[in-house]
Order: sequence, then C-alpha cells, then structure tokens
Amino acid sequence: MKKAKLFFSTLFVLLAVAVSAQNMRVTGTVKDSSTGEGVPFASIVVKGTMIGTSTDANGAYTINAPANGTLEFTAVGYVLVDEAINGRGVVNVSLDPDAESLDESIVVAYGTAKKSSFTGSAGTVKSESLQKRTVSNVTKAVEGLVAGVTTTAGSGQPGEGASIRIRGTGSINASSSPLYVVDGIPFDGNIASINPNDIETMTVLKDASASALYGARAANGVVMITTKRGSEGKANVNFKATVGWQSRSVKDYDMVNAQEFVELTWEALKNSYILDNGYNDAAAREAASADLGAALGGQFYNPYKNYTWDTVIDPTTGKLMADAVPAWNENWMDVLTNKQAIRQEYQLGVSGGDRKTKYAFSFGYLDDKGVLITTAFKRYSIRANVDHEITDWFNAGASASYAYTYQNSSQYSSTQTGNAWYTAQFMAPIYPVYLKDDSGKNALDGNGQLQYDYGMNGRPKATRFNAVGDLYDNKYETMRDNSSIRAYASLGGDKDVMGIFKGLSLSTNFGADITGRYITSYYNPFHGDGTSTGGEVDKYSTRTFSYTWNQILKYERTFNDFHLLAQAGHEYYNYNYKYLYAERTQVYPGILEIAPASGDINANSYSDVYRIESYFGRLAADFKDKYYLEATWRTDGSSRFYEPNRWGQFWSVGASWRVSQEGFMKNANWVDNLTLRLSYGELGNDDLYKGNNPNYYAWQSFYDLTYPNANNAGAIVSSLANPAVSWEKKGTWNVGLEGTFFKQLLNVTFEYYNSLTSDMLLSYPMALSTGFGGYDANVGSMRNQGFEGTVRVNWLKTGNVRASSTLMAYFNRNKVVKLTGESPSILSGNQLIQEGLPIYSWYVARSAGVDPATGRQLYWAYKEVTQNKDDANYDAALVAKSYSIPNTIKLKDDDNGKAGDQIFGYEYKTDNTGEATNSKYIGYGSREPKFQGSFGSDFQFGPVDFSFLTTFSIGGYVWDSVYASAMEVSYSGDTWSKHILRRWQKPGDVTDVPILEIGSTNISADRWLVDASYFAIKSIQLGYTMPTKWTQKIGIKSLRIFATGDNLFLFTKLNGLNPQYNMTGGTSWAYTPTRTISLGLDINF
Amino acid sequence: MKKIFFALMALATLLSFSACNKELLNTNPTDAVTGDTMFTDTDGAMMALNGTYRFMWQWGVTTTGNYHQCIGPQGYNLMADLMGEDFVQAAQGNGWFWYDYRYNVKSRYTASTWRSYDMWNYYYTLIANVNYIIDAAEQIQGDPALVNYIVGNAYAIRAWSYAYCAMIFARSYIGHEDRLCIPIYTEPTFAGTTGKPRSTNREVFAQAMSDINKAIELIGNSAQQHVSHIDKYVANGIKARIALYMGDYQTAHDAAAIAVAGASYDYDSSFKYNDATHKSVLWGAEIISTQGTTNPQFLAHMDYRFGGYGDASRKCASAWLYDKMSATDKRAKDWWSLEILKDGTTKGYQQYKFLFKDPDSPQTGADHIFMRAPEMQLIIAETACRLNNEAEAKAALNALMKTRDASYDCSNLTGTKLGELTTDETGSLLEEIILQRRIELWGEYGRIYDIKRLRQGFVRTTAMGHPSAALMTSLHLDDPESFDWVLTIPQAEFDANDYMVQNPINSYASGDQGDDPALTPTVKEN
Repeated sequence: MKKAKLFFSTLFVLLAVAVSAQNMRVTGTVKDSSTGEGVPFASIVVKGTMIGTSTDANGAYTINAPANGTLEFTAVGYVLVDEAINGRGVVNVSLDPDAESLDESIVVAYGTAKKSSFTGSAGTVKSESLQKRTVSNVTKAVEGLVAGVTTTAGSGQPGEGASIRIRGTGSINASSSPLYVVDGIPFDGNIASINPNDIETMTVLKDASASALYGARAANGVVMITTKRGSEGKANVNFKATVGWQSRSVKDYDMVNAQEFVELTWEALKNSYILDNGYNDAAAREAASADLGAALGGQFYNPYKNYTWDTVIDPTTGKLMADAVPAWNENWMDVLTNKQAIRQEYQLGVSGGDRKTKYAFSFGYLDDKGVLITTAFKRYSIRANVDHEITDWFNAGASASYAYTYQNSSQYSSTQTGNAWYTAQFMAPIYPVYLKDDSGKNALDGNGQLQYDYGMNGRPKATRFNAVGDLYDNKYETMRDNSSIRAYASLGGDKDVMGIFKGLSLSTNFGADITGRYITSYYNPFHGDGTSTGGEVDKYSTRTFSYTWNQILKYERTFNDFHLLAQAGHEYYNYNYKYLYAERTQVYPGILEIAPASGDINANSYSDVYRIESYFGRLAADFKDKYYLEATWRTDGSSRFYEPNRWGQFWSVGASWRVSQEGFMKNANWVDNLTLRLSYGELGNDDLYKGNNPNYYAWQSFYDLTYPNANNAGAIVSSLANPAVSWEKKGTWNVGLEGTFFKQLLNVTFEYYNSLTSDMLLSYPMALSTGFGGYDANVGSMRNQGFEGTVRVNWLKTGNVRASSTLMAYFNRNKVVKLTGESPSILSGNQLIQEGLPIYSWYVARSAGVDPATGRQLYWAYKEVTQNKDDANYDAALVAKSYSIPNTIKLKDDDNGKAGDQIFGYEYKTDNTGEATNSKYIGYGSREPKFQGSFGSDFQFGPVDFSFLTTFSIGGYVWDSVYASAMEVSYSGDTWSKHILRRWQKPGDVTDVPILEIGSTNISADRWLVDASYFAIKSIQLGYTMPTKWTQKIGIKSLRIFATGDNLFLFTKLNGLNPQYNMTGGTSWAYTPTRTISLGLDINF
Repeated sequence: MKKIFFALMALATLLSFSACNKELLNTNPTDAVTGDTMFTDTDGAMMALNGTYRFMWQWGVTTTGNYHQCIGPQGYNLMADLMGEDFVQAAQGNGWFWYDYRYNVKSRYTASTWRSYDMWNYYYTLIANVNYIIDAAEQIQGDPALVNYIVGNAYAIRAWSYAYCAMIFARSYIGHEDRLCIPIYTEPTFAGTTGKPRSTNREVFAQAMSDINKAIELIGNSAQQHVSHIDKYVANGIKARIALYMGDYQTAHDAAAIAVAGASYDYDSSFKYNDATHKSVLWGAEIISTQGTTNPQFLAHMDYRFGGYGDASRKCASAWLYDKMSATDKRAKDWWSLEILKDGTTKGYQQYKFLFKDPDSPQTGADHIFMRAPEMQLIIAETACRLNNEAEAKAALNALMKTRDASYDCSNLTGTKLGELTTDETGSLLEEIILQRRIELWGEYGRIYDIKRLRQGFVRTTAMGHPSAALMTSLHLDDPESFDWVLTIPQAEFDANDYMVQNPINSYASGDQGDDPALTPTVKEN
C-alpha cells in the first residue's frame, strides 16, 4: 500500500517537474475528513494541464498555478476533489476516504486482494456503516448494507442476533447459514461477544470464486469480520459513549377492549347453543347469559361491579348494559413493557504504532435493558491486537479478546403458558394483573403493596400463572465467558533481501475460540411452572473449544506487467463441545442453587467432537492491470462422513477484465473504471442437522443410550446407517459488471448469479410405518438465481459539503429442481417442498368467503370423478362444469374399470373442513419476496452530518399464526383481534369473517397468509463535529456529538405482524424487535 | 541470516505438511453406540429390550409438539376413554385431550404434533425396535432361556403394538374383517426400506395372534424380570385382549384364565393406581424419581389436587354410569364424588381413582399401570357368558364383585342381548358384565375400543355431565359403521408410501378414502 502511494506520488512529482508554467503560488494542506489528519503524498494537479505536485508527510503542499485555475486533489483511497483557486493563496481541502476506491484492498480468503483484481463477488461493510446502527449484536447491523443478503429482524431480547442468508436458501436439511470468519479463522464463538465497535470491516463473500478457499462450510457464503488494528503514528485515543431509550419497533396487534370482549364471549356461547345443541334463538340467548359467568371464571373477574355476569348483557341486543362501567380494563402487554428500557454503551480504544510495531486495544461496556421487564444484556469486552515486524522477512502478530456477557431472558417460547408474549397477548382485558377487592379496587397486602393475581379464583386461563409476577419470581440467566485468540507468523515475502527466495513466504495462522456458558433457570415453588414440584432449579454448563491451525506457502512476484501468485496450504480444524446439566426440584425459595434444593438430582452430560482436515491451493495471475485470472482448489475431509466418502473436492475459476484500461476506451473520459467479472466454482456443505441440533455422526446406525427403564440400562435405535452420505455440493455462476463514471460521481454494480445445489443433504423420506421418517442421503437438487444491483451517487463532494446516496435492489428465485425421484414433494405443516416450486411454498386450503346465509366459512374443494360416455349414468352436466384430467382415458377393460372411462375434476364450495383439508392448493408462493433492497444517504454540511437507511421488501407471504389464533380463539378467556368485529352476525351479512365460535374446528387456510411486504426506516443519524480550533485548545483532536434512531419505523400490511420473524415465513409469540433512540459522544485525543 | 530463514522454512514446511493421523477424523458420539454392536450378547439385547419398554412409557418422544398428551399406554387409554361416553372432561383446561374428547383430531393429519402422527409413530417405532431384536435372535450369545425371554418379550410387544394400532386406525375387526387395516412389517428396517400397503384386519390380527403365541412359547415359565416386562401371565393377558377384540371368545377365555392367576382381583380401597408393585397389577412401569416428571404424565391429568391440568380440566365419571352403582358399592365412594367448583358449578363426578401418592412430590409414586387382574376376571365372565356358560360367567362376576359390593348378586340375570346404543338397556347378563367392566376399568382401558368391538353406538348428554361443547351431535357416534373413531393416517406416511390409502376424514367413506381393499394402489413404477 505504502509502496503504491510512493510510486504514484513520485510519478506525479516527475510529471509536475516536466511542466514549467509560471502563475501564482498556492499553498495549503490536504486533510483526511474523517480523522482531520494531513494526507501525505496526495497529488495535486492543475486541471487540464500536466502541472502537479504532492503533499509532504504532514499533508502540506505548494504549487504554482493560474489564479483562475482549478486544482484536482487525488490520493489513493480517497474521493477525488476539484477546488477552484479563485485567486486564493491558500487552498485547504479535506478528502473523504473512498469506500469505492479502485485500489481499495478487501479481505478475502487467506489474505487480502486489491478490489480491481478480485474476480469474485463480495460486499464490504465498513465500520462507519456499522457504527450508525445501535445494535448489541453485529448481525443486526448488516441489513440493507450488502446486496443479496436477507436477514431476519432478530429477537428483541437484548444480545440476540439476526439470521443471515446470502443469496437465498441453499439447502433443505443442512444448514443455510453462512460461515463466520473472524480475523481469518472460522469463528465458533458467540457473535454477541464481539463488540461491534471493534470491527473494522465486515466482508460478505457471495460467490464461489470468493469463498472457494473456505471450501468446506462455505457453500452458503462467508461473513468475514476483521477487527481494528493499529497503524503507524501517534497513539490515537477514542472514547465513545451512547445512551439510548428502547421501545417496541413492531406495533402490537389491535385487540378488543373489555366491553367488546364480554359481548363477543356471550355471542360465542349463544352461537354454540344454537350450532352444537340445537337450541332456538331465545333459549340460546338465555343459556348464554346463564353460562357467561362459568365461561369467564365467576364473579371475581367481573369488572362490572354493578352487575352480575348473568345480567350484564342485555339478551335481546347482546350488548352490555348501558350503565355497566368497568372497574378495570387491563392491558397486560402494556404492564409487561419496560418503559425505562435504557441502553448504555461506553467504549475506549487506543491504537497506534511505529514502523515496526502496531497495536490496537479496546475496552467496551454495554448495559442493554430489554423492553420486556427484567430482561437485560450486559457485556464487558477487551480486545488487543499487536503486529510486529521482527526482521525484513519475519512478521508476527497476535490478538486476543475476552468478553463476559450476562443475559437475563424469558426462556419460554410459543404457546407455553409461561411465555409472557403468549399469555399477555391473549389474556382478556377483564383479567387484572393485580388482585382486586369486591369494589374493583386494588387489594393491597399488609404492607400496602399490590398483589399479583395468579388466577387462583377461577380464571379459566393460565391458572397459577401471572406473566408479570413470574418474570420477577423466576429466573433464566446465561453467563458466557468468551475468549478468542488469533496468532500468525510469516516468513519471507517479496523483498530483495530474500535473494533467490524473493517472493516466497511461509505463514502459519492459529486461532482458537473458547466459550464457556453457564445457564441457571429457576422456577419458584409458589406460582407458575414450579408449583407442582416445589420449585425447580436447573443448571446447564457447556464448553465449546475449537481451533484452526493452518500453514500456507505462498509465492508472489511482479515481473513488469505480469503479476503472479501461487499459494498452497494445509489446515486442521477441531471442534469440541461438552455439555453438563443438572436439575433438582423442591428448591429453597429464592436461592438459585442446587445445593439447598431437596428433590432428587437429575443430571446429564455428553460431548461432541468434529474435525476437518484440508489442503488447498490458489493460482492467480494478472497482466497489465487489465486481465485477471484466478483458480482455487481445496479438498476437505470431514469427520461427519464415512472414510471412503469423507473427502470433498472444491474448486473455482474466475476472471475479470478491466474494460476501461483498453485502448478503445481511451476517449471515454467519463468512464473512470469498468470491470467485467465472471466466475464459476463448486463448494461444499457438511453442516447436517437433526432437528435443531447439528448432526456430527450422520452415516452410522446408532442406539441411543439415554433410555434406561427404571434401573435397567436401555437403548433404542435412533438412526439408520447410510455410509454413502457425503458432501452437499453447490456450483455457482457469477457474472458481475462494475463501473465508476464521471469522476467518481456514479458507481454502479450489477451482478447475476445462478447456483445449483446438488447431491443435496436431505432426510430421504421413508414411510413412517417403517419406524423412521427418513435417513440422511445425498439426493435432489435446488437452484437459486438472482440479480443484484447497487447504484451509488456521490452528489456533492466539494470541500466540506458532501452528499451521497446508495440504492440497492435485489431478488432471489429459489426452485427445488429435484427431490428423491420417488416422491415429488415433501409436506411440512402448511408448507410444501415440491419439485418446480420455491422451497417452503405455501400449501393450504383456499377460502371461498363466508356463506351469507349461515355465517360458515366456505372453502374451495376439488374432487375427481370417473365418467364414461357409454354409461347410463353419464352426468353430462357434471362433465360440463369439470375440467378433464389429461391422459386419464382408459383404453381397455380391466378390474379397475372399462374402456372409455375418463377422470374429470371439478371444484366446489364447501363448509366441510374435512373436505377442505383434503383440497389444499399451491400457488400462493412462499416467503420469498419479489424483490427487496435498501436506500440510504449520507450528508455532510460542514460540521453537521446526517444519514439515513431504509429497507424494503415487496411480495411474498407470511403465515401469521399469532393473528390466526386471535381470530379463531381456542379457549374461553382468550381475547380477540379487533378484526373479529367484522364477523358474520345474522343471515344476509356479507363479510370475510365467519360466525363467532370458541374452539371451533379450524384448518389451515389462506385467510392467514398475509402479504409480507414492508418498508422500514432502519436508522437516522444526525451528528455535529465541534470545530477543531475549539477542541484543540483542550487537547482534543475531534469531538462529535450525535443522535441516532435505530429501527425507527416499520410499515406492514397488518399491525402486529413482524414480516422478518424468520426465513420460512412464520410468526410466533416471541420477543418483539426493538427501536432505540440514543444520544452519543465520540471523542478522539 | 539466510541460513536461519532456510532452516525455519524447512522445519515449518515439514511440520505443516506432515499429514494428520487419519484416525482423528473418525469421531463418535458419547451418548449412543453403533447399531451393529447391540446384539452380540444378552446384555446388549436386554438393553435394547429395556430401551423399547422405556420408549413405550416415555412421554413426549413421538411428536414435535403437544408433548403433554403423548404419555404412553395410559395416555392412549385415557384418550380412548375420552372418545366414549363414560368419561367426562369437564372443561377445556389447558387443552390437553380436549381435542380427542371433541373428535377434533382427524383433520390434523398433516401436522407432526397431533394424534395421527403421534400414535402411528408410537406403535411403528416400537415395532421397528422389536423387529431388530427378533431378527437378531440367532446371533445373541448367552443363556438360551434368557435369549428366549428377550426375544419372547419382543414378539409380545409386536403383538400388542399391531393390535392397538389396528384398533385406532381401522374400524372394528368384527364386521370389517377384510377391510383395510394397517401395514405389517416383520423384518428389520434399513435405509431405503420401502413402505408397505395396508393389510386387512384379518391379516393384521392374525399377525398379532401369531406373535403373541410365539411370545408365550418363548417366554415359557421364565419369571418376570421387571414389572414392565412381559411374562406368561401378561402375554396371556395381551392374548386375551386381542382375542376378545376379534370375537374369538374361547381363546380369550382360556388366555384370561391363565393371566388372572398372575395377580389378585380383590378390591383394595387404598390402591390409587400409582404403584406398579400392587398385588392387582400384572403389568406396568416403575417410575423412579430421576425418570419421573411433573406435568406431562397421566396422574397430572387426573389428580386435581396436584393443581395443574387435573384441576384446570376436571376428569369425571358420567352421572349415568355413576348412578348404576348401588349404594353399597365401595367404588362409588372411593373413586368418585360430587364436587362444587370455584365458579359455583357442579361438574359431574370428580374422580379419586387415580391419585399421586403425594401430589407435592409427583416424580415418584406415579407408576404406570398397563394391566390388572380384574380385567382378566371380567374377560372370563364375558367370554363364558358368550360361550353359553352362564353359570361360570355369574360365578366369575360375583367373585369379583363381592369384594367391591357385599350385597352384589347377578345370579338372576341371563342372556347376551345388548342395545343398539350403549344407553339402550336390555337387562341381560352380558350387559351387566359389560357395565361392571365399564365401572371397574374406568379411566384405564380405552372405552372406545369396547364400543367398537361390541358394535354399539353411543350418545353423550349434558345430563351425564358432558359439557355442551362435547356432545358431538353432528357426528355419527351412534353408528358402528362410522369412521368417526377411526384415526386418519399421518401425511408423513403418504410422503413416502405410494401404497397408502387414507381413512375418511368425515364420518363416512367417499372417493379415494376408506378401507375398501380395492382402493390400494397395486403397481409401483419407478
């Protein structure tokens, strides 16, 4: 890098000397706009001439130039700036670091590469972009910053991350998650342990050419995280503090109020007496009034203290009595929300170095309180990087980091009563959080404190539970010790001192991630789930230790216009996981330990080992900075597979052509750079899953030893042997076009990719009656193809006023090409994996509206009938309304019919849920959006900076099971969505919501498929940098204050819906994502 | 310096490219062993047998959700009881078993969380496990008597599994002998084993009968090694149940006569169905504290004092059945009582038959009970009656009943006539035997299986104590030909078995659904 700078500046000095026009003398300094430091060796050319000079080590320059001329300032890694002289003797400029700079070096597998020479596809996220998001887990900051990357919103539980998919879902039973690499070594730690502030860049390797050197495990792309390292110069001390306030970023569902709830329950009871028991209307009304108290839990829970349950509804109208006033109208979700969910983060970083030694270290502290009461995340992190040049030919460096994280969360999920998100969502507003007395006022205890109502007085729902009280009285805390070390040593290099070995180097890298996790869960003995056992305390202790060690021999030389690189290496990866669990009931109240509990001890432990050995090589050559070729090869042996099938071969070839360097482009001055790239490669995936757990031993038949029968050892068969199971392969084509035009004004990148996953790791379906649902095998294939476009416009780049905008749009089209060959589809719940369709296509009954006469939900159903023209009972009318099913005309007689029989199909409407269940339809698509993308801008007006980022996704469907349950309520005491008010009530009503029932037979129908399109304002940031002339007096290099809004707004089709809950398109009763509004201070000394 | 460099380079190259030990890439789990090592000796085979028994009663291993109603044989018997008319689930509670009770499970066959998947997976997992043991019979080294005991147990589990699976996935044996039942597998499963078509009731029950006979032969007089194991008494008990369902009354009679000798049918007021070592128990599971659990178990659903599911959803006897007991019947006081609930309502006759030994310590004192001697005595009475041996039938019933109701006497009854509906009373001796069976085995035998084999129909009324939501008037529970009580086959089966034919989702067959053997696809082309 430095060499290159020197080369260019010398060149420009020479050019400058060659010209001898004499005008006026102009002096000034060129500064880096981000650091405020002088830019050494920047070149200054008088526009339209050959006159030029360069800055000195401090960024100062002197030049003779025409008074009305324009100076053009350029420096490697910065955006070009034109500045008119206008007769000034002093012209100071500041240059912006340029993310799109042609010779920017990017992090690639086993090294770095100049962007211009890169033949693959990658997206880089710089620390400035990450810093604009207020996130505790860096995976949440990636959304909208790299084309082709889809993320979930992630749980709002502080510390939790988001899932990332690069270019679609690549596998069915193996993982579709990318490989995370931190400082060159695959990362097995907890991403939440990484302080986002320590990250210099995140590079997303998208295609085969970019990631093939990671062969094994790289099929779903690679996310490379590079931490900040020191640079030569005086020590820089950075202190940053932010304080934020959090709230829900996804709105709550609109639910009915107490009055509506009571009226609806009465109406549902009335309907059930008519529909189920055949009562007439008047009798049903009477019975409903009589039954209301029992259905809702007795008079204790009647908030209408001037009425009893059987009189509170006027049976003739079904409405609440006009003078019935509720003593309370509870909103549980509101009570559960922490209104002071404050997030505080403090960082201190020091970096610097001299020519030989460079260092960076940082400390971070984060205290993140969740929007759900009691939940929180804390992180203390330390990181240190040191690089040292021992001799000309011997470099070494090491980095170490430690993070302690503490998380307090709610461990419940989905429809568990203990899950506050579920219980509060459905708890009707007539059930108070706090105990009430007969007059409807809060019943206080002896100390004048509020008391939780645990539903012990007949509440039909969640008896023994109180979502608010349980969060305080129970505990689920996770502590993690995260250590990572990375070390390298490198011998040799492209130095003359190497003599005949010039260009040859040998380097070795070692990295280890060690995570100790300690979980305590405690259920109090008085309320909630612990009641039945006298409480329970569980302890989990897990230890993950993984290391990677590689040795790489490299030869790299430049001969005139020809540059050559050859690399060969060996790598060994070892992963070790240990699990220990113990549990005891009959706790000592309030003590979260096993020792004082008196129940029997239940314990368990196991270990897993996973290893990969690899050999790899790379050849790269380029000529005249115009033609680039690269080929890689890697072979991996995975311990997951049986020996003969263990080794997978992975490779890639890529080429790029800088069209703009060609002679014929010489006159196209508006083209700064134009590069065409093409690559193909094959990658592997061995990341098999069994349920939610990794399957490290896929090929063997096992007996699971965890089935003792009383005190007799016992085992059951748990898997079938398939020694043939081996690597899943993914071959990807990538075509890219990248151009920079009009002196960096416009930068565009377009890419098309087409990848085929083959030998797909699939649980080969077996008839369940064989005792197994399937066995792991390599079958089938799946295609992902898509288009990505990024357009960046640098609107303004004059001096202190700058503006740029970036628009990204991309789409992925997934298609299952082939499954087992025996069965063209695999059904999984409401979704279908079927040949020819996108993975996880919706497959549900199709609703046909509500019957205006009966109020019943109608569905479309289809039937097949055999008809024969020669038969006496040939039904011409039926055939006329049917469609003929091709190739079903029987030609000759046999046992199953006679010649001339033909099968016809027809559709009809029915309210029979059985027939509707048998008549599911495809064609709703899947979660996959039509397209998605982001739009963001950055502005700098002198000391003020402003930026925003928005994301959008158009098309696709989400199956909103939360909404469905709020419309088809299963239990008395569960409340409804406000949309239920549209229900059918009397013959003649035309509506889309059927007659009201509680616990009706409900089936999966398209009523609950909601358009998943959304538009989100992800972040807005406003900053102000104090003028240097003030701050320097007190020894501060720069001081910036800023305000950030993160996850600000989400616009969806349905309030409450989180369209980014997961990748397959579901929703659940889960921790809602959060919005953070924060203020911050950033000081450099 | 060059020398140092050269030396370092050479050393490093040597180090790095020396291949790693090949063995390092062979890794194994720590909680499982490879299948081919299991059957070398009786120790391993016994482990496979005990694991199968554990699976039989282990909760929550057959589905991907709704675990709390998947609780082994007692749970399935509770489900089958709830499908009848004698057992009242007073409220929805947390929802467990409510969908069974309300016949709202058949349309849920595509999910891996509901009964279709649960029960199909349960029985066929048991069958697959014992098929490996049976297949390995020749290779197990050790005491031949012990080998026979293990393999005999495997045959008995297979017989039991096929019979019970057939009882829920097909219509009654009697009257539908040659209608479609379930597929039969007698060979071990390997990767790629293909699915088989449904056999008929006749074929499936012949298999079950052959298996249980083989089991009885192999087990011989070997003593029961654990209460969960099957000895000659239990094996004969299973045989009696199978034969009774098939209407083979002589076989049922003779087998029950052997089985009843294995335990006592005397009444014990203090027995609360939580101790498998009780003198009346032939077969059950011993639940030790570390294998016990709290909520997802049978007694948690039954015992309201526990404060959980049994409280939120009271388990009660129908008033109709309760009223059939005389005032002197001890069971009427020991097992049920009228309770007034917190909301002021009365919910039928709350059960006290099944209780934890200590509801505060539910992990022990909650054994599972699979078979008791009174059932065998009742089978003797019923089959003797049907075989025109009324004297023996009356003696058998009186012997059982005199310990329960001192004033009991059925001597003046005669005949075998049963009503079309279970509430249509005929006053026959057979009806009385069945009535005592309904009372004695309430909550533990799967009432719907009896309704099916007796070819009766039934109604539920609010007067019996059934909630209005559970009357099921839109179904055809009064018709023994209906498919309402025949479970649908899970979608997971169809995904990989081209021969499979679905049962009707509705009450009656239509189109390509039903148990007509003509519907089975016969050709499989690839």
